[in-house]
Amino acid sequence: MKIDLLSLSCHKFRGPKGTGVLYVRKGLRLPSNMLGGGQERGSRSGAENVAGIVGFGAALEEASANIPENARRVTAMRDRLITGLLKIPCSRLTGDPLNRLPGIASFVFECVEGESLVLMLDQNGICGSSGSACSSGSLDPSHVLMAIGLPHEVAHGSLRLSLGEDNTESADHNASSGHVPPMGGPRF
Amino acid sequence: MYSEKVMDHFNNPRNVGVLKDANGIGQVGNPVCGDIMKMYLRIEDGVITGVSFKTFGCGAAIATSSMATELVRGKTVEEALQLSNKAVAEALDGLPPVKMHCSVLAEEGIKAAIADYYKRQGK
Repeated sequence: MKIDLLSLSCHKFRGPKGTGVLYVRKGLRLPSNMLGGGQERGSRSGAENVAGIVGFGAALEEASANIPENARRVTAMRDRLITGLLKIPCSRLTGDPLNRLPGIASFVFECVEGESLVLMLDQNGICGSSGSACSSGSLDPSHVLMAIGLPHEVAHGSLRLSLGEDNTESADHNASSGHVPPMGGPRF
Repeated sequence: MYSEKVMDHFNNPRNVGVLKDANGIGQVGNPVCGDIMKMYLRIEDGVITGVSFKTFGCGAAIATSSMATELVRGKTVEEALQLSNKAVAEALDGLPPVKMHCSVLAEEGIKAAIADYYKRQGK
């Protein structure tokens, strides 16, 4: 793939939080990130986080096995979720409908605010996240949603749901059908 | 993060909706911030006989506007003008510091509706 540098966040594939990987093409020489005892071949001094390293190694091994089968199963659940949620009036899927990661479905719902959505879902046993200002504590909604041209009030109604190998089909079904009653509530 | 009372008002907001015979309507906040509150009042002989609200906002925004409508229902206009954001927050058993601005918006919403009523009366 002719990659010079690649960084991985291990918590994204269920490795320990606080661990990461930097792949460096052989022959590339980078300045030291931290000076000191010369650990990690001089690139980053300081005692290595051995437990973290072992953890991400195990996570990587597990994540790399069965990629096609996992992707197929998670994609099917994701697509069912998307179909179910788009039945809610004034809702939109954000991002490319086809070329997207198997496990992420991100939406905007008009006239409802993101933190309210997350609260409602949480009470129904569903964890989601939002890019609204109220949920992130900043003054602006997600800069990505703004960049794709969504007006502020629509971007504030964003909801992101993630699916993984651990999600079951019945939970997925619950999420897509159970959404509809709560949405009857606080629309402006 | 939220008290039980806040969650109660979020899940069971009081006085939600459009008040059809409202004679004072105030809207505060804006879509850029992600917080909009619209308060409807019906004032007869100086008393608030009807009140409702519609809010676009987070859990605290819905709870504070709901509580504000409860606090002014049946009160005189003079009493309603005394409504403070502190009273709204206290009635909800407190708000996280980062959400206190919602109570301010709720207070302003009620006062904006009262101002609108006076404007319509030509005062």
